[in-house]
Amino acid sequence: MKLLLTACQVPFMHGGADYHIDGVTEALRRAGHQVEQVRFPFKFNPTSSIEQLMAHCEQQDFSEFNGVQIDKVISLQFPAYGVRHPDHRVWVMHQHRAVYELFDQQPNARQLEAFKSKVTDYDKRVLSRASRLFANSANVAARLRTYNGLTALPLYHPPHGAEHFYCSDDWEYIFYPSRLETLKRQSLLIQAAKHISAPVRILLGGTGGQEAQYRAEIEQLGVQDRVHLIGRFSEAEKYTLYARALGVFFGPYDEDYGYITLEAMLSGKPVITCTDSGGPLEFVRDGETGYVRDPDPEQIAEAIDRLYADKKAAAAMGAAGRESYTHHNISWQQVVNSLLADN
Amino acid sequence: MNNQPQTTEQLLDAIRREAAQLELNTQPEPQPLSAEEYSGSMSFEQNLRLPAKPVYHYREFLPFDDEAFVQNAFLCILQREPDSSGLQSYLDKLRNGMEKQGVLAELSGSEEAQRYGVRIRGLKGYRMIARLRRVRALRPLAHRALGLYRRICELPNSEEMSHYRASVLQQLSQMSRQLRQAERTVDGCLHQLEQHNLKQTELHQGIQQELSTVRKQSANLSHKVAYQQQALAASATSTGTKSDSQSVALTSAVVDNMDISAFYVAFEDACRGTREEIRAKMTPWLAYLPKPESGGNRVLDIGCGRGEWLQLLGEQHYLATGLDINPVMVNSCLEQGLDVCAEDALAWLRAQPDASLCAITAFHVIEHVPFELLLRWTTEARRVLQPGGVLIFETPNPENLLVGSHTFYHDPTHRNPITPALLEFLAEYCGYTNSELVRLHPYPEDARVSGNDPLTERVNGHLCGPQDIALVARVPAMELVE
Repeated sequence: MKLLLTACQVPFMHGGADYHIDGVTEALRRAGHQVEQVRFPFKFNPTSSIEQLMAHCEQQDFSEFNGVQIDKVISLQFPAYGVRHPDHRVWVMHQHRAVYELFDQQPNARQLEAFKSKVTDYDKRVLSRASRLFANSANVAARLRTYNGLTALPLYHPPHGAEHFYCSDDWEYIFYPSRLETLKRQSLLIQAAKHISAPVRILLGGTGGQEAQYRAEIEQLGVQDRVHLIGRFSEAEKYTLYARALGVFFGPYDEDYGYITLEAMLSGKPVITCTDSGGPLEFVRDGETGYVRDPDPEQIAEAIDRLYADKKAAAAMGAAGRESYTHHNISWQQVVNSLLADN
Repeated sequence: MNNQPQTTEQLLDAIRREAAQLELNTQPEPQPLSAEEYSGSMSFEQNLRLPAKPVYHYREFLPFDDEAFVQNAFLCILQREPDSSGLQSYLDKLRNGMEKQGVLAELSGSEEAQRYGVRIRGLKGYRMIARLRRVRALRPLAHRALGLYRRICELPNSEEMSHYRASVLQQLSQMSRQLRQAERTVDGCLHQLEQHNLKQTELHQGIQQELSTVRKQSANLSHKVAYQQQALAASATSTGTKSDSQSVALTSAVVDNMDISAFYVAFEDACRGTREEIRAKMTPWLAYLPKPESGGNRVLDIGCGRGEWLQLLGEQHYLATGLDINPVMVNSCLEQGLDVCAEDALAWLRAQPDASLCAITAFHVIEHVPFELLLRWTTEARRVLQPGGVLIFETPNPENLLVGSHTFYHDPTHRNPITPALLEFLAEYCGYTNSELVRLHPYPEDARVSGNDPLTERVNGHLCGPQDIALVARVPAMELVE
């Protein structure tokens, strides 16, 4: 089949979305399809540029190009999923979060009111046209239902390099690899360090806009012996960092999906997450594959102490996580089958 | 857990070591580089470009080759793309073995480079060599110096060597200073020499002009003197027995007459051209004459002037007689050993027996005489010419408008232009046959109006056509049978 895959592109800002887009493209090609990506350049500001892009996308007829018939269009991102095709499969990675679940946190929410309703209308309108509608996770599907009254099927995909994760004896540290941003809430872990009694270290991997902020906080709380910002790490180092951790913390605010949960499970490590963390909650079962706690440093510290106190139990939870991952049947083959299924 | 790392550093080290031993079949994830090393992810075009800086070391340019090298050298040193000729010339130099340092030295030493003040370090030696190279005569020296310098650069970097290197550099720099001085001096000399040459040429031209003026004046004067001498001689003989008063009157009349003749000769001299030119002009006429061995070989030339034609005839074994009413011309011809006299042409012809001449010629004469005389000459010539004999009259061609309206009147002794029709009829009337008109001396090609349409042809025919015309009239050969 000739398939067009639409998404957005934010020049020089690469992350999980690129992996996701390239991953599905690659999987579709492996399945024997001809796939080309169409990526629309995206700017977060000003909102008028987003409105223009919405209008532009909605005008695009992707059913054929110069006599070349397109069999199906698969769209992943807002507002690219506005393009038109009679067999349009939309797999919503996430919506424009600033006007949905993050709207109340916007400093200028009042001024964004009009924009918000335009985006909500757009999503409702264009996503209703989709021949099949999937969501990146149950969390994203829930948002579509809540905000737009749309029903979407959660469709999970594997993290990058899934086959390389391994488990080894722990070296007594809690690992949290993520971009250093407010929404990721590394602060919870830094503050928790004050309350941990066990001699465990905390390794914060990655870089980001809040690096200086977090560094200051670590010093201010005097936890620099315990909490370490290790910065970038190689892919191989990532596998080892997971493999040697006592447990993995992943407590962002309302995450869409979250590769970290899956990577921790693949590494056989228990995951500590929070009640408002979104995506991870679909996988972490409190007391079985990790701990689910309020976003409160003391509770988190308690969970970490627990892991240290009973390492055997911790390892068992990790193994249960690994099993749970297998149960979810998460693979690119599964993704391709679901995306292209006719029913 | 027995090899549990103790410190955070040990922990991270242990993680790195373990990670290093992982065997991943996947491609390693590209690692972002620090800002300075970003060139790896730049486009090919950007990759081939050196960043703009005020100071470089020449070694920074060495990784680039050929066009990329020249491009970078121009962009960094002259702050611009190379023009196509500049690019080509440096590419040629590089391909002919000039080293990159030499190119950098040349570019950074150029006047244009001074504007930007971009410095290239490490080129001291090459810069001096480039200076040597600028002087053509010193190129072999520059070449040798370059070889030496390169060898020095390759020597190990001991303290002794660096002293040696420094001293060689110093010598080179002194040499190059002296050379620059010498170059300036030579430039100055060359300039002066050029000025001098220019002045000399001007002077030479002036002298030439003056000389030709003087020559003309002296020719005129010598004619004048010759005529006055003759006039005096004539008056002395003719007035020998007459009274003084008569003598004075006659003498003055003769002298007046002689003045006009002198003027005319000078005028002819000025207009006719050199002897050689005239000989060349006359030579084609030989072809029109009966061959001297075919019977009679006597030729009469009326108005023989300075005798160029007579001389030609003599060389071709004709027995030529010349007539001229101008005594100076006659004298000049006699001095050359030619058979010339001042007799009247008609009288001379009447004195000849029938059919005794093979040719009678008159070049630019008939327009000077009254038609009655011309008619008599033509009639008498018919009698005197032998069968197969030829009569040639050359005259200005009035078919050319400029001749008929203008140049004909240059000569104050000309009477009327004679038309081709009149000439042809004259010949026929007098019993000649096979007459032909030969048109001669058209204006030079570059005087013609350009184009070849009928109108232009006509204009050119009338204005630039033959300036002279000749009647060639023949006596029928069959009379020989009679």
